[in-house]
Amino acid sequence: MIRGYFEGPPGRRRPFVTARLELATRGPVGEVEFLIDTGAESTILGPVDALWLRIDTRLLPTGPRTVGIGGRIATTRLEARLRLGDRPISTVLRLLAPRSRRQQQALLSLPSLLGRDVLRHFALVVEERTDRVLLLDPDEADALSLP
Amino acid sequence: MNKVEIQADLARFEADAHYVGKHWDELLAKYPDHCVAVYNQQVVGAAKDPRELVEQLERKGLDPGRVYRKWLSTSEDLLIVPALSTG
Repeated sequence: MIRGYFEGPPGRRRPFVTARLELATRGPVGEVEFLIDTGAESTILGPVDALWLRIDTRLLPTGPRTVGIGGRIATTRLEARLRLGDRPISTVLRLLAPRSRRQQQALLSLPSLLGRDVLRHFALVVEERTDRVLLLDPDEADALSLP
Repeated sequence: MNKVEIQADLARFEADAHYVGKHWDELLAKYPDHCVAVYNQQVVGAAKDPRELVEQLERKGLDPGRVYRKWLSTSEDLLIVPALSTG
């Protein structure tokens, strides 16, 4: 079981989990806080985290564009391994590649997102009432008496 | 680095996240629209430009990858994020 947490300003707390990010080319590059986002198809490394970990999106291959409310944006892709607790999970990260200065500035507050490519390995329990953010392994989920 | 060390790093990073959550209002008042860096539950830097903050940390001999970071926004924008790949 991986434990996450709620964090954020009062009234706007969001579910997060931390992971170590490892790149095939550089090995471990650091820790990242991911917002758990069941609506995201792919895991996305946020612009501040990319800057922080010295990952230059200009040097990475182009990925598919992403779309959400607010429009479309170019992405790049990066093969990586996330270590959640003691669980290593290989995936392809998407990195947003905003082109204009204004777009770059607007995206600074965007966190990294843990999408369904990683979440599909777990059963997810998110309950703000009890402060529970749990990523259950399949055997743990199977042991629950759920309909 | 072994599993125990990795777990310890993740636990420290998460404790730093909790520190920011617990002190959110005071940090926001002190560092509005800044990126703030926290290590071992202490603020070790803050800047409006994250690049500048990374350089601050490196000058202090800290590995930015190990340091918790958070953008403290004064706006109350709803967070609705990119979700669909469009090919």
